[in-house]
This record gives sequence, C-alpha cells and structure tokens, in this order.
Amino acid sequence: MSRRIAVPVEAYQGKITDLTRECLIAARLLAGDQDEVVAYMFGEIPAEGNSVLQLADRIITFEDGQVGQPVALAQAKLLCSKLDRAELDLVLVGSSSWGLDLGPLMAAYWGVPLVANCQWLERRENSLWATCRICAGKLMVDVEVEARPAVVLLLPGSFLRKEVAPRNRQPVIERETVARRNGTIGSVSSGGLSRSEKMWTSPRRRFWWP
Amino acid sequence: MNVLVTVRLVPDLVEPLVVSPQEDNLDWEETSLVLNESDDHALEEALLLKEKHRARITVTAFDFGEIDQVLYMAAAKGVDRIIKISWPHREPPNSLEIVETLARLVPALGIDLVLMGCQSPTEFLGMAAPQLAATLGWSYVGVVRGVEGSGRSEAWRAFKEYPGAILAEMEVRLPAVVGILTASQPPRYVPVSRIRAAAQQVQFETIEGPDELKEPPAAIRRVYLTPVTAHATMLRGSEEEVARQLVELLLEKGILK
Repeated sequence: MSRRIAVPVEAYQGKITDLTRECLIAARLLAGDQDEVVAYMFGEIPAEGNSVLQLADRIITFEDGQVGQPVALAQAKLLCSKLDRAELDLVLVGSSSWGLDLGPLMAAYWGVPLVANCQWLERRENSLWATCRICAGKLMVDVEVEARPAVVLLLPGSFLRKEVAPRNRQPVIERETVARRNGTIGSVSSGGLSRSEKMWTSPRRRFWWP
Repeated sequence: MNVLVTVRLVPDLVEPLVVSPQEDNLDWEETSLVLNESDDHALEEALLLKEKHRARITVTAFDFGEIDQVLYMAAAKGVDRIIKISWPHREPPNSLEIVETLARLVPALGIDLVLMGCQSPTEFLGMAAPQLAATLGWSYVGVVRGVEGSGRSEAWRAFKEYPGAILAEMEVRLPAVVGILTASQPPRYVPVSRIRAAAQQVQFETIEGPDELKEPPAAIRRVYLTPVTAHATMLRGSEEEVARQLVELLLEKGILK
C-alpha cells in the first residue's frame, strides 16, 4: 500500500522558500516511485512555484485568501481537520520560524511524534530513522520513529545539494475552498508583514475557521 | 493579568559536552548547566509587562541542577511568586513531562499568558511551548521578539520574525502561550548583592512533578559528538592575493557568476 508524505508549503511575497524545496526533495527521495508526495499550499500557487512543486505528485491548494497569511495556528488547525491522519506516513515541515509553530502544533493536535532539528531522514524496513543536530550543532542524535504518522522538522541545508531525477508527469492540482463560519480561526491573526522594524499599518484581518 | 514564565536549565554550550558511556544521552553529571537563553528573554518580557501593564508574574521551574540560583535571580528581578516543581531524577524533564505538569498547573493558577522560550538546545523530540498551547487549547505564536498590550484587555500584540528580516505584528487573544525568541530589550543585569538579599528573603512554593515519567515519542539509538569534517582555511598572502582567492572561492560556490 502506498504511503503519503505531506509537505506544507511556505511562501512569502509570491516565492516558495528554498526550505520548502528541500522538504519536497527529502519527501521525493523517501517516497521513490511507490509513495505519494502531496504539497499543501495556502493561497494561490505562485507563478515561479511550478518548478518547485513539480516534485510533488499532488498539490492541494486552500483557496481562501484568509489562510494565505502565514499564521501557523490557523493553518495547523486547517491541516489537522483536512488531512486524513490514517493515510499519512509523514508530515515534513521546514524548520523556519513558521514551521517551528506549525509542526509542533500539528503533532500535538494529533498526538503523534514530533522530531525536530532533523538533518537526515531515511527508511529502514518499517522504521523511519532521523539524525538530529542539537545543542547548537555540537551533538548528533540518531532516532528511530515507529509510530505513524510523524511530524518532522527539517533543518535548512539538509537536502540542499541532493539531486532528484526529473519527473515525467505533472502533479495533479486540487483546489479546496475553505468555508467560513462565525468566529475566528484560532484567535491569532496577522496584522501583515513588513520589512525590518517598520510595522504594517493596514487594518488587521481576521482568520475564519471552517 | 497573570503571567507564567517557565525557566529551564540547559547544557552550557561554551563548555565541552560529555556523552554517556551507553551513548544514549548526555552525561548530565558531567554537564555544566546554564539558564536557557530564550527562557531568560521570556522572563525579561514578563518583567516589561509587569512594568507597563501591572502584570503579576509567577515563575516555575523543575528542581533540577542548580535551579535555586536562577530562581533567586528571578526573585531579585522582581517576580511575584516562585513555584518549584519537585524532580528527583538524574536527567532533566523532557518536553512531554514539562507539558503535562504545566497543563495541570496553569488552570489552577488562573494564568492568562504563558511566556517561555520557543525552543531549548536539547529539545528535539517535542517542543514544550507550542505543545503546551495545543494541550490547553490556547492560542499560540512562537519565535516572537516582543509582546505589547493592544489597548484591549483580551487581545495582545506579538512581534514574530519571518525569513528575510520580515517582522509580523500578530494579534493574540488571551489566554495564550507565547514562545519567546528574544525580549524587547536585553535581559536586565542584577547585582550579586541583590541576588544574595533575595536568597535570604524569598520563599519558594513546592509542588509535585508528573506522576510518571513519559517515554519520548521516538527511540534514541545513538548520541554522539558532531564529527569535525572541515577546519577553517586561512587565506594568506598580500591583499591582492587574498582578494583573488576570495573571488575564486565565491565563483566556485556559485555566489558570484
């Protein structure tokens, strides 16, 4: 039976991050031809994102612009409600400031293992083995994860130079509209993004939870 | 507003780390411990909230290592209440044990806002701050560089860092857990004399730790020091020669094209 590896996509200002690309490379290497890699995109696919997202077998976009802002609490709740945990083998999240919120929240909502600071991942029979770098890089830990699904936070640079064979088929794109209900999605909302210390001054937006 | 700050001792990364003979953990008896840097910033942020918004601060810590010194320092800085959680074990509590204990303690204390470091150097099988928020069903935002009042009692502003020097202003509705990366200002210095005075006066409250130890969600197979794979290369020669070597290096790495 094929297993599914989920990769939530992190994008800012129309550009998918390099760390998401690394997560997709790691997912592709783990999945091989047998398993399925699914990228979850919040908002529209950026024009420059097609080449990165071709590493996935399927792309699922959540079309409601209100989850397009990088508010991890809202997005973690959305993913936990939309993804079928029983079909998942692994959720691979980049260890960025966004991923450091999203990954642990998803693991806690589902009550599944979380492996952070991961710099290498491989399958050995039915187990997932991860090598983690802790204590500011001074210490390494090899761990074996048996319970599934697991949420893994991947450190930047881990799969940067790994090559993946070009894929012949285009990923299938599915669009999901996030329905709204009264009330906020999680009670954290974003006032917007700004460079450096200058604060965004537009009115705050609310995020709605289906 | 009642604010809870949790402080943890972590390995001093300036000192050499020693792995246990079984290669399954650090040798904690040989490990120098210091206050987790981001927990120190969380404490500072709480003190700023006390000064600006009259927040009442409770500090908790597991009774591991020389934690009393950290708690005396917190008392000298002006926290209102200190609760020590008994921990008669040779290793510090893992994230699950911290979360379980705090999830029991926080509602009993009537806490509105929990501030703690967004990560510690030894956390990799779990992360206490976001997982505490999920367990409590509270709001969470982490990797935060400061918290401010918004003028409304139930909503607070947190400033979160994103890649590329992007800062987001997040509105957080209480009750909430906020994972602090750095405080709005560097942690304040307290003279040793004030810490000594606090040690004479302060009374810790003590509560029991978790009923049972929690197994980590994955099996640790091996712990080892990071192998040294490369050393620094010193560029030698005249200014022109060093500049030429640098350009060659940047071209080789693809930074210059």
